[in-house]
Amino acid sequence: MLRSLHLDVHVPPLTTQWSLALGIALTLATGGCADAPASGPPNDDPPADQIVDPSAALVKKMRSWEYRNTIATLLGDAVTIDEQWLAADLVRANFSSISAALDCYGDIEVEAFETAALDIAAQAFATSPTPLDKAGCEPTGPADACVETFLAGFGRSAWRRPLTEDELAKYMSLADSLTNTLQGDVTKGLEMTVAAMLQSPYFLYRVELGEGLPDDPRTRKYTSFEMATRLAYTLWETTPDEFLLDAAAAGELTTEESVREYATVMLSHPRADHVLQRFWREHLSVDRLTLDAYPKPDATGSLYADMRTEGQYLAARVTQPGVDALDFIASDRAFLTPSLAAHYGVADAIAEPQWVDLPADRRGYLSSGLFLAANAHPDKTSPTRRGKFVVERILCRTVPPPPPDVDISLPEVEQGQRTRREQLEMHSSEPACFGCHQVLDPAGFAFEGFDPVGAARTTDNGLPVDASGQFDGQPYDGAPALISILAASPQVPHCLTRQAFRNTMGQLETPEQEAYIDELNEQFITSGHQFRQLIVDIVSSRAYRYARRTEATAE
Amino acid sequence: MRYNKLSRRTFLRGMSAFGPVAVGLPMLHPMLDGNGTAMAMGGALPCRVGVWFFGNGLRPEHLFPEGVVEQVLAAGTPGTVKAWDPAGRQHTQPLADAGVASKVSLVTGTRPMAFPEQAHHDGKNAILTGSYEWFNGSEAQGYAGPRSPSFDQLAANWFEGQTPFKSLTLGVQEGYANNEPGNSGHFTSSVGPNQYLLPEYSPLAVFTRLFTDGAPPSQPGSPADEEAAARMLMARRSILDAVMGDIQTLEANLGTTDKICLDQHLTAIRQLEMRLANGAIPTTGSCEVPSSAPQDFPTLNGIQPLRDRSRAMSDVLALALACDMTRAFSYQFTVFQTAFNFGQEPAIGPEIAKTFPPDHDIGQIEFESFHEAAHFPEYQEAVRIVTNFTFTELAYLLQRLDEIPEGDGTVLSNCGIMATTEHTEPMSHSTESMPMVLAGTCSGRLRGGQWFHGNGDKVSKGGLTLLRAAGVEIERFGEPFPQAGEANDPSTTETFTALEA
Repeated sequence: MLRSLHLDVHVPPLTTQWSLALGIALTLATGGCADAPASGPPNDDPPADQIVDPSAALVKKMRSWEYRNTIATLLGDAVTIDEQWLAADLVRANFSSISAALDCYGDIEVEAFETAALDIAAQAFATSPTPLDKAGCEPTGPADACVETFLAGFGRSAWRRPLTEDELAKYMSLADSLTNTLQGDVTKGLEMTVAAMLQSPYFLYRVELGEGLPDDPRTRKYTSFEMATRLAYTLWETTPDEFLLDAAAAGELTTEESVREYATVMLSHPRADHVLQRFWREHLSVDRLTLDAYPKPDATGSLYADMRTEGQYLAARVTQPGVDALDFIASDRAFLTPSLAAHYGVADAIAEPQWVDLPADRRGYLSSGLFLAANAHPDKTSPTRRGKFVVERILCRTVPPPPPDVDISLPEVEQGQRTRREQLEMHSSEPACFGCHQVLDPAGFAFEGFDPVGAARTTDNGLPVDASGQFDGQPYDGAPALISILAASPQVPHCLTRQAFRNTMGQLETPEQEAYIDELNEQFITSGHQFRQLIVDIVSSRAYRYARRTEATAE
Repeated sequence: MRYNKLSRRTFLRGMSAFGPVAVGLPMLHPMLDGNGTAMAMGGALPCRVGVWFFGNGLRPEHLFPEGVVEQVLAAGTPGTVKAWDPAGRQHTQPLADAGVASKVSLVTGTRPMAFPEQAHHDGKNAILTGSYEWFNGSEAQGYAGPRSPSFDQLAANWFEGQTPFKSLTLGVQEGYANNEPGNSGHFTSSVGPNQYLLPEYSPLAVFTRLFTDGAPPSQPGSPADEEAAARMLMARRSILDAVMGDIQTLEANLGTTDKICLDQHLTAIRQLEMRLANGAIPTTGSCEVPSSAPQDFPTLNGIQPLRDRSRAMSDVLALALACDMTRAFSYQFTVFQTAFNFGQEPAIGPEIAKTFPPDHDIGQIEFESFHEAAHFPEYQEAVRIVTNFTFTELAYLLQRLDEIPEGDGTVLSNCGIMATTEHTEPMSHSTESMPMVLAGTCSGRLRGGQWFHGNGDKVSKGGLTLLRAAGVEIERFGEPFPQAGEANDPSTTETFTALEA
């Protein structure tokens, strides 16, 4: 079922205590500037020509878990979200964040948002304290000042910015008309007005358009409120809470230094852990190893679940402060269940899931079942698929698709006659095939010592396995040797920086943005491959803080 | 009620997934002139435009008329047209069995015109959108999708506002191309660069959305209840008006890409508001809405009952068209680059299993992905069986449409539906001589019972043929791709004139 693609996990709610803690931390970090004057901190805008091709200003839709988190931040955890209201999340170029920037809500979703908004508003007004209670006043009629106070306050939270005068007037008038329609019940009228605000595009989309720079209106800078929104969704996957909105109102988040400080503190909240881990789960396809997607005669649902668990712990580990993120391919330890440890040939049996030393033939993700099983045929290995993953996903090299009208079937084989590798080498020697396979296969032969579900093996089709080869001119024999070559390759951190950039920005980089990636990669190397530091560097970079005017954006 | 326990004949008597459907006066009847053959306001009956898509090609020798597989016409020959009977070829025999032979035509000998070709993608984009892939400036990164709207959505734009739903996008097989959520070619309907409309896979959900949501309760309540309901309806409409205003204000500040999303959003809200304003669905004649909802056929334990789900969906679609709920639709029977285990489909699984060679190397398990297996010679018998099954389910829909009288014909007479796929045959993925079946005679504007064999003609002419026949005023279908040269322009300003009445 597509619905099973909802990737969300339970995340800790944002709390008042949290905001207080954030406030204290920032007060310390900024020397007491959290309540900066409305004029804001000094502007550090460079000349527009030094802001190289930032991304196009876009509206982005919310992913299903972002909608749920947003409602919880806005109206509290007690509001129930019906699974039926939310459509399946897609990924583009491996990341759901890129789909959120690129894809539209369909008409079925839009209709569901109407149902959802009415239901959510009714729930919120039926649960104490209601949104009105929180506003601290009780309206006696539609013209009451309390109505304006309430709508201005709720509007800022829901739309992530203060309402304009026209917008406030429009929604006050709507509240008045709804109250009349509903026979003078002003509370019901406000509940329905909340339902309207929850259907507005200013709520359902992240509207981040920026403001033109004085010396070049085509180059746009995200406003402090837009930056609060960007940071909140990038680092917490929810709408900015009152504390962030207050910071935005005070003109924070408009300099690199300010963004760096806020981002650093936001990343220390447990909520950020799940977001950082999501990058790895999507990048390494952790959640996709299921029997539906990868049916195999030798696989079971519980074996796949254990492999996904291993991947989730790997994601948690490489996002911890102080851990070298390149451990994702180099680590000699993994979190395994007893049965997965046995599957991997770990010498000493374990009684319960734990971190264990891997056997000598395994290192990191590239010898995990997640990688080995998802990149194999049901009953045969695929050096081509395994090599393709390494070349494309880990090294960011591009491979052309196979041409049409090519016979991709491998030569006939009889038992004991040829190994899978030998068959593949016969096929790949065809001139039409050689071009791609010479790029893909050398990175895949190293894993021939692992069968289609990732168990070690010494024979294939009755013949000894050959896991030797040459990659980028360097000879290897077996997976650990190839992994050592990769771990020493400057392309691996550079590619990881690129993937993190894509996920954080919600886009594929343009050729002009390569310079940002090079610079971020230098910072990443200097930090000892600290993943959290990489994210802070990305969100405080000019690429993230500025936008390019799209062709029709009005000035 | 499960279809596979019922004989085919049962369905011919007007049974459907949700019990008997009245097949009497068509909904359009009150709007017809005295003869019942044209609209009282003038003009012919409207022709609905649809696409019925299935993934990964077919076996040409079981579709193409005798001899055509080898037929190469002399350079400059514009193509040939002959009378065609779907009977006698395995794939199309079900169309003959369904009694719709005189209302279907076959097209062969067309090309996507793309160069260099990308397997799967170019065929699908050319036939559905008349364009190359859209790369977002980065063609090698698994990002590509349609460049422009699919023809069903161009029809939807044209007919917008005339029916309660702008279009329906339906699907049977749930999934993604090649099982990869990041793969580019998943869905059939597109509305702009890289913008798909996702299919709805649940016949029950489609039925509910069409006929239940927004309709007043069937049992009248107390006057107080009815007044409260009316006030609530009014409140919802005021809210939708306010939301539409916000969308229009925001849109004025957006670039083209974002405008596509907000336009779609605005259309969806406008349709919803219109349906709330219009209230109940007319329930006369063949549009009588069944009292019980259709049975749903969800995916259970990874197994998708394609035939059962498809027939329930076809019943709902037939009802939707009979009630004039929409005039544009897409029906995605199987997914592009079909990653699907047809061995689990009760209707054909056992038959497929018998075709596997006794000591084949690939192993039955390889059939878990139809796409992968179909590359191999050992599985071409399975491809034949799957494609026969596919055409049987197409025939089921066409027969349902042909059972509903409308004007001096049937609902099928007043449709133009293209049944097609992304390449000609799956072993080589060749797009030479791409085929399509055009079903329905589009209110008398298309010829049925014809076989048109192009001479490397543009495959996109098929979509434009349907659009023009349905009265959609459009100069060009698709977008030229100057980078590839004029000889490889997938877009068209021409139709298959040989098939026009």
